[in-house]
Amino acid sequence: MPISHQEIETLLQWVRLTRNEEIDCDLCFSQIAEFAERELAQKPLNESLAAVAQHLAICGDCQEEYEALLQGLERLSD
Amino acid sequence: MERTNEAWRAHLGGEGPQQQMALVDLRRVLLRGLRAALSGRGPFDGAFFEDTVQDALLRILDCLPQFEGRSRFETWAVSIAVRLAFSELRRKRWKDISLDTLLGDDAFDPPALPSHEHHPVADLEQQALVEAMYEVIRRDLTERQRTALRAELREIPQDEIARHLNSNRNAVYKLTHDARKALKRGLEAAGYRVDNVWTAFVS
Repeated sequence: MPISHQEIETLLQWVRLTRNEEIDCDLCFSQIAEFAERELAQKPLNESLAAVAQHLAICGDCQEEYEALLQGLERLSD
Repeated sequence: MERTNEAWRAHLGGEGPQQQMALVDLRRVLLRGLRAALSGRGPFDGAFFEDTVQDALLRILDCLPQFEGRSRFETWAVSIAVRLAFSELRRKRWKDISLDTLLGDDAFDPPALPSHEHHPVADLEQQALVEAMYEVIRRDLTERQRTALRAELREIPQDEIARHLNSNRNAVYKLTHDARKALKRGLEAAGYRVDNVWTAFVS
């Protein structure tokens, strides 16, 4: 099945966001709670958490879990 | 009962009635957190939440020494429950689906790009970029890298890709990270600036 225009766009976006050093899913997950709280409190990210943001921009699975966590935290604080 | 991070650690790490009370309270936190996190993504039955929370409680007790206190304990605990929930949901969703069937014989086939009716030059430039990209993919990426990348573009979960490749989630991420780096190097060697090509492609 041919790759679609949208998929090419996604691939180019991933390539654009690619860094030589990236954290993997487990390392992202180990910091996701802190990352979520800082995002909700609109606090700036340190270098370690910036790597989490970069991972989330590329990894769809981690991004999906993060969005659910954020939704959960926002609703719990209502 | 409100607890500090230290109190959660002490009570859950202890024994007797204090630990039991902490487990009851944690279970309540996890159920509320998980229901809120998965709201709008269902439907789910009560058993799914109960089972996931039970698994999460065990995982949290196992991982208690790893909690460093950089977030609230409740946030950390709910994040574990959310991850377990998604792992199970993805496993159920994909367990009867073959990656081979989804991906077909060729990891990457050239696309038929939409034409820019009023910008034929843009057509040619996009086509040249896509051909350069395919050349790098064919030349510089391994078969496993192509397979993993193609599967990710199809939004197949990493755990499922890992199962197909007899690997694990982190190894799949590294596989596709290496693939992306090779693709970036290849395009840059072919004279493309990746920031510019992405902007031009989406405009």
